[in-house]
Amino acid sequence: MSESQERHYNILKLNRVFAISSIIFTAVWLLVFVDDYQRPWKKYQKEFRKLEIEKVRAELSDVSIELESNAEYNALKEELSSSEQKLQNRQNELDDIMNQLIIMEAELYKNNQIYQFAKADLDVLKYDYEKSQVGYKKNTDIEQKYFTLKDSVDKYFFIREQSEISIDQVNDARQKITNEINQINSSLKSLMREQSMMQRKLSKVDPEAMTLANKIGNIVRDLPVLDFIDPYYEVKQVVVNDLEEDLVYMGMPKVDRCMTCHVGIDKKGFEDSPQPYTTHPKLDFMVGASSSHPISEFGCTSCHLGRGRGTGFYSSAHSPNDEETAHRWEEEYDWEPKHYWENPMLPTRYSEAGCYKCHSGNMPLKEAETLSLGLSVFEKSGCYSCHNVARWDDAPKSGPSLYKLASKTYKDWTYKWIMEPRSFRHNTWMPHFFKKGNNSSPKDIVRTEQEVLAMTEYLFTNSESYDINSMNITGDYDRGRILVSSLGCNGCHQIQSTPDPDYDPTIQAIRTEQGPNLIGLGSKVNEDWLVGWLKNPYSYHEGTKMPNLRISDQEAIDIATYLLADKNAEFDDLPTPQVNDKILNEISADFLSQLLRKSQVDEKLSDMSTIEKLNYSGEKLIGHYGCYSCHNISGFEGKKPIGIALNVEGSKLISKLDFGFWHDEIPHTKWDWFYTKINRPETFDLIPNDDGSVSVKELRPLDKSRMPHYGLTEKEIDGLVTLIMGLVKDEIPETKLPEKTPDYLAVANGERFLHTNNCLGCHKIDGEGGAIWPSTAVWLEEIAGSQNSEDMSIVQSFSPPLLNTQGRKAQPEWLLNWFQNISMIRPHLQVRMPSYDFTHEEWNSVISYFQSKDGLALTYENPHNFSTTSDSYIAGQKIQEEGACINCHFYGEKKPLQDAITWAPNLVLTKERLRPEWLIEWFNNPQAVMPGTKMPAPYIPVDEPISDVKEYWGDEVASFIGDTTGMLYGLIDWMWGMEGKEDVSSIVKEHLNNEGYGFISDDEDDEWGDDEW
Amino acid sequence: MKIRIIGTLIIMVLIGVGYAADVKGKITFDGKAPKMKPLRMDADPVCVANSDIKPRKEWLILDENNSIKNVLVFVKESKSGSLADSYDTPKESAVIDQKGCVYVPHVLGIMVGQTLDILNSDGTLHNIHALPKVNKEFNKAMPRSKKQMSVKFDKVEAPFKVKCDVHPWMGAYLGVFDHPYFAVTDDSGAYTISGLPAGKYVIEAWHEKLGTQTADITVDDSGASQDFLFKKPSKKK
Repeated sequence: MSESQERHYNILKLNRVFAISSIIFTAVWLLVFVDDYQRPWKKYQKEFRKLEIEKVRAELSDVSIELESNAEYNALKEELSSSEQKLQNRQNELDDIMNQLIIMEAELYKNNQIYQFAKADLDVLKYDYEKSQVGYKKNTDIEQKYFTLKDSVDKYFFIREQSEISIDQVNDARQKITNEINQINSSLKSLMREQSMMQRKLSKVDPEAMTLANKIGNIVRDLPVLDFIDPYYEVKQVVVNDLEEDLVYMGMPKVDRCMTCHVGIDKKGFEDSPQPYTTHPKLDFMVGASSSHPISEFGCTSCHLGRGRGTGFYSSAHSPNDEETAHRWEEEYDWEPKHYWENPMLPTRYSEAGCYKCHSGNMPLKEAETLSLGLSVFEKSGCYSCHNVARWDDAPKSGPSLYKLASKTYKDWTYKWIMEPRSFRHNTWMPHFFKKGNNSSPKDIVRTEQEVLAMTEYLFTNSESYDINSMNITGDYDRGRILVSSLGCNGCHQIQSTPDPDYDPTIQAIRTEQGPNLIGLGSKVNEDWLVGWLKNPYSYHEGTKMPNLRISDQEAIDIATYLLADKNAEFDDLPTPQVNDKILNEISADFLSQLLRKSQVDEKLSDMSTIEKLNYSGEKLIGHYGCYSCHNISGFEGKKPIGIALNVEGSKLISKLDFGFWHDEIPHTKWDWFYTKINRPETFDLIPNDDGSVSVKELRPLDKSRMPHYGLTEKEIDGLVTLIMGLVKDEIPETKLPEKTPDYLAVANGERFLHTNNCLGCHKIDGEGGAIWPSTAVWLEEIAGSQNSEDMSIVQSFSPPLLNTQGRKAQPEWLLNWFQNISMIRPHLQVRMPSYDFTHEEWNSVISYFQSKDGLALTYENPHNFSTTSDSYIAGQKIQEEGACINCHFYGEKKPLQDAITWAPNLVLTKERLRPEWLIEWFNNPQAVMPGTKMPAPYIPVDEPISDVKEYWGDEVASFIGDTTGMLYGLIDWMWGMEGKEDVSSIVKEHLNNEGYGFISDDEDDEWGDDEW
Repeated sequence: MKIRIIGTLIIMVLIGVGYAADVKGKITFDGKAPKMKPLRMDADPVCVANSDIKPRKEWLILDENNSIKNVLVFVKESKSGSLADSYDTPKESAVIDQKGCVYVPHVLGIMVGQTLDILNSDGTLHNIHALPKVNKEFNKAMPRSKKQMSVKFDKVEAPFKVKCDVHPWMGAYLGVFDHPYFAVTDDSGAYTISGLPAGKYVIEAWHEKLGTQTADITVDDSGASQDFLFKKPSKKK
């Protein structure tokens, strides 16, 4: 067969190829749809829908059950049915009425018609009649006709009116019944509102509760292809326009799609559901629509980081909390670290890092425990001394001043201390620079010894002189011990000889570490220095945080005797090495050669004496290790810190962090790097071996990592890492930041000031702080037995006062004066408010903190006016007398009637000290203001029969009957009229010396009659 | 008629309503009795004047047989479910008096919502300071003219202290229950919890100084009896 047309190809073959390829094309096309339809997040939304249906059903049944058992509901339902019954019964009546109405209305119409016509006729007749009256011809016929018609019109008028009235009555009767039913219906509806809301909600999600049409719609809306219109299962997202994401030099509004899988995140009731359906754990604070951080305004990744546009587990850049989680994720979700996203999600252990970028001015941060602990540890460890962070620009050096070191301690002690601080004090914040992984070889140790010798030499050679007067009084160990436990030392200092195995670092725990743990002082300081220091710390170091407790000579000697009795023999026995000239030369040469040629170095060295070399290398080493960053040291004034600034460390690219030889050992994340660096700073000087051991890199001594080792717990390091991850360069729009009102700033600054100066070590404010309380109990146990020390109300009474409502409570002027010149207020207290040398401005910031916190403006207040002859004053006097305030309170020099354990402030001080408005609040309910206070609410005869009040309380009190505030102002008038001695300290002292506190103790040995108890 | 009675009985057994019966017992102390010291009340002359006999401390009161007064015994939990979900609040008030500057009684049980009348029989000012942890703390002054005030507690709470800050030796203990099955031992250390339905229970005996003890009991028609023996607590470190 010849071909009709010459072709270079075979059509049949070609058709086959076309057919096959179009089938493949169609299949691929379909596969694309299938693939697009099967998105991983859909299964979560489907699963969540089931959960939600279950929950709404359960809630609905709960509500229904509740409704069934609601008496009001049942009564209403009954009433409704009886009304309906009534209505039913009256239906016939109503029908009759309705029929009647129709007839009546027809009748009315007819009568009205007749009336109208008759009236028209009458008008005509009226004209005729009037005409006939005035005319010449009297027409009696017309007159009669007229009057007859007039009567008839009046009659019809009356009939019409009657019809109208009966119609109205019938209508009213009907209206009444329907009103009754409507009313019951609407009350039922309001009772059932919740139920019907649930039903509506259910009908939206639960196909079983849907109408048929909706059921079909529910299926159709999620069909492939059609699901672009209005699907139930869809990618959900929030767009936050004023938060920008930096997408390769381009600012794009933040888009977070996390809630596509985390469907329950903003819904109450899924707290116990598994991930990803769980409700946000702090819904009232975060995410919730009425919280201060609603999801619509803040999104998710603004705090948590991660890739908000991701809709899959991997693509959203989740980060595991630990290795175990990582392995689980790898298996369950094919998870791997997302290296190409700069800011992967923070693991939950560090998620509070997100708080810091907006709230860097606060301390503590509300609801951010880990971050607050991190801030506290950062400050306490003095990290800011070497690593600049703007927040601490004005903070004093974190370690003690070494300007006058020689007057305080010994060379030997200093050498051993620098070498290994924790061998002297197990929980010191002074870190270990030596005996770390990168400088512990025998050769390293030999050099370290000489380095430390040199630094010690420098410190002592350059120590300023400090005059101390020796006192010729002998101290008493026991008195000293009681003083230390009662004066308030334990608000800032521990005395803890061995580490606490259950130590749990918290802000509260760190409060008692404000000052050093006072152990082994006998090995460390000399007595004269300690006595002088106790009496006036500022004279030794004016920038010290240790305040002046107005300690007498005798007290100081007693305390010193007690503290110095504790010596650390093991530490004392540690050896100190001799100077090794060869090594010293090496050390000096290392520094000299930075500036000089080798020959010049040798020449210089041969010119220097050993002492000179010690001093020279000591100075250089102090500079090298950065000791001056934390301590005041002569010759280093104004020197820049040695560490890198951390202001934007959290934004650092991970590629800028050198993982050294540890790429495979440490997960490749910023937080793991920071954690390692803090936990074992020398890690990156080391090389991990296959058998788990490490080798040290070959480094010259001065090239070794200098960052010291702090011996922190995992929890503390987590806090620090959280803080560092929060130090970012993000620009936050004003709208997202807390509004910087004057009150806000005063409170934020005040809280930081209180934290830095450890006010909460002693005081409790709104339940926070009071770290000293356990020590008060120890003191009470010693002087009054365990019954008193276990009674928290007594412990509270002998601890520093609560500062709740302090702003509303104290008159600001008095408070300022008192801060600057402390005097006795609570006569029963042993614990002393210290004298701080804060400036006027600093004290004012404390006062405005208190006032702003209580919503009180710093304004002038009118003095409280009163007259000693007014009814009010006399009533107050009576209330005071009946209330027997004198039982516990001093009235000037007049001592309280009861024992000193019950004592309370001298009332003469009140008029200068307290604000009358606060006193009203206080008198009304002391326990609400200061929970646990021993002050009872004064009894006010406010709701007693007036005759009784007149009889017992007198006419003046009776004149205020029914007026609690009036009576309380009477009490205030009386107090404002008090005169007398303000300073009762000498009376108190004498009384306590002679009669003691009058503690009631149950468990005295002799009561049991044996010694075991 | 007979059938009806039997039927009623069967129904009663089936629904678990047995006869209510009494739980009785005696609480004794094993060991040498400590001697209670007299209270030193010199600080308030009214207190001294009001006390006929010189009052002693009350933290462990024993009779000649070492039976302990002021132990609060109560049903802690029901094991066979015969406690009702709720009980009516008693109409009559519980009473605590401040008399001769001590609290009478020294230990007291009360029901949730029940009125506690606090009396002041002394012609002096007392303040009654309750130190509960669950209920709301209160501290009210009662001047000499105020002979009575009333309070209520709205939550169940283990015994807590009530004290007078003016007279620091004054202390009493108060337990709040949501059922009426509690009792305080009398002078002879005996207690009776009456009207407890048949069933299995855990009862607890609480003493302010000697601590607590529990016991499983089975109450049948004839009631139950449960004694407790307390020892001196070991010395705390």
